[in-house]
Amino acid sequence: MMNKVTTALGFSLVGALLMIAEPNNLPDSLFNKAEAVIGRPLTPISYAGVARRTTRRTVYAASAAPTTVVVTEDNSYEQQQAAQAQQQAAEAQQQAALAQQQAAEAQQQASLPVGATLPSLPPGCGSTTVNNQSYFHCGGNWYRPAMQNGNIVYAVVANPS
Amino acid sequence: MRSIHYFAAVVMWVGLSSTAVARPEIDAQANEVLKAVNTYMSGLDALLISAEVSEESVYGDNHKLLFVGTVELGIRHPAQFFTEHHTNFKNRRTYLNQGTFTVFDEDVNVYAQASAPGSLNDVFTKLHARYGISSPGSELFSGNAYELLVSKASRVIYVGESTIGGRACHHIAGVLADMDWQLWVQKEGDPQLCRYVITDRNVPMAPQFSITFDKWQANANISNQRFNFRAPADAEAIEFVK
Repeated sequence: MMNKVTTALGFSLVGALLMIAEPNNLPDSLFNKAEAVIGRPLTPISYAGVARRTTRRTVYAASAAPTTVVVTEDNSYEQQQAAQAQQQAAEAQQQAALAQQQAAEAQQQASLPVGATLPSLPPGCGSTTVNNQSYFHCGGNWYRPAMQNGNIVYAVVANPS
Repeated sequence: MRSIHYFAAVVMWVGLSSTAVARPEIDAQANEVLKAVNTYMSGLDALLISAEVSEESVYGDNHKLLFVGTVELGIRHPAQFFTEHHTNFKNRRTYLNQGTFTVFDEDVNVYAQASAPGSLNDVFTKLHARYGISSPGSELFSGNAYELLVSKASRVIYVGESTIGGRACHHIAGVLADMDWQLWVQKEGDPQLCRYVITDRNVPMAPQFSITFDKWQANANISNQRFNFRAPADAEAIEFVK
C-alpha cells in the first residue's frame, strides 16, 4: 500500500519535473505572463543609476496591468464561449433573437484604448489582412503585432476597415 | 595559498556587498584585467563568436525557469553587427548595417526596423533609451566595456582563477546598486572572454543571465551578406512601440 502510494507519487513528481523541463508543454499564458512581468535580467548598459529602481518598479507595475487585463479577458472569453455555445443550440429557433443578443454583447465587451499592449493575443482571435498587414480581431478590439522592450506584443489599433 | 586568497575574496565580497560606498573601489588586479579587455576588444576590427547562453525567467511569486540556447555574434567596427539567438522558445536575429537596426522574430515571422546611426556604443545606448532594447552582454562589445562595467559599480573585485572550457580564466566581479556582474577573462594570450554572468537583484528571485564563449575568432573575415537583413517574402514589418 505504502509502496504504491510512493510509486504513484514518484511518477507524478517525474511527470511534473518533465513538464517543467520542457517549456513547450507549459501553458502559453504562463510564459507570456512570466516574460511580461519579469522579462530578462537587466544589464549594465540598461542601468540608469539611482533612479533605476523606481523606474523599473513603474515598468513592472505597468507590465502587470495588461496581464491583469488578459486574465480578465480570459475569464470573459470563457464566459462568452459558453454563452455562444448556448446561443448556437438555440440558433435554429431563435436566429433573430441571437442577432439582437450578439449586438448587445458587442456593446458590453470591454474595448481597450488604442495603443494599449498585451503580451499575447486573447484566445479565439481571428486574423484579417488589410493592405497586406495582419490584424487580429476579437472582443471588440483590433490588434497589430509590435515590438516593445524587445518582446513581441499585441497593440490595440483602430478598426482598419 | 590559493584557498586563503579565495577565502579572503569571499569575505571581501560578503563584506562589500552589504556596504554602500559612494566612490567605486576597484581592485588593482581586476582593474588591470578589465583595462586589457577594453584595449583588446576596442582594437579588433571584426569578431565572430559562438556562445552558449542561459537565461532565467521568473514566474508566479517564486518560481524560476532556465532557458538555454545558442548565440552567434558577428561584429565589424565601426558599426556593423548581427546576432542569431536560438532557444526552444525564442528564435531571434538582429542586424545593424548601414545605420539601420533590425530585429527579426523567426517564430512570429515579423521584423522591426529603426534608424540607428553612430558607433556601436551609441547604437546600444540609443536602442535602450528609445525602444527598451537591451541585450545582455552587448556592453562587452560596445567598444566601451571598461566604462560600462566600472563606472556604475560600487566595488570591483578580483575573485580568483577558474578553469572554463579548459582555459584558465581570471574571475572578476562587480557590484552595482541592485545588479552584479561577473566576468571571466582568459589568462594566457589575448584577454578573450570566457564567461559573463549578470544577476539582477532588482527583480524578485534575482534572475541570472549567463553567456559562455565557446568559439572566438578575432579579426574574422565575415562576409557582408551576414550583416545584411533580407526580409523573407512572407515576413511582415511591424513597429517598435514604447
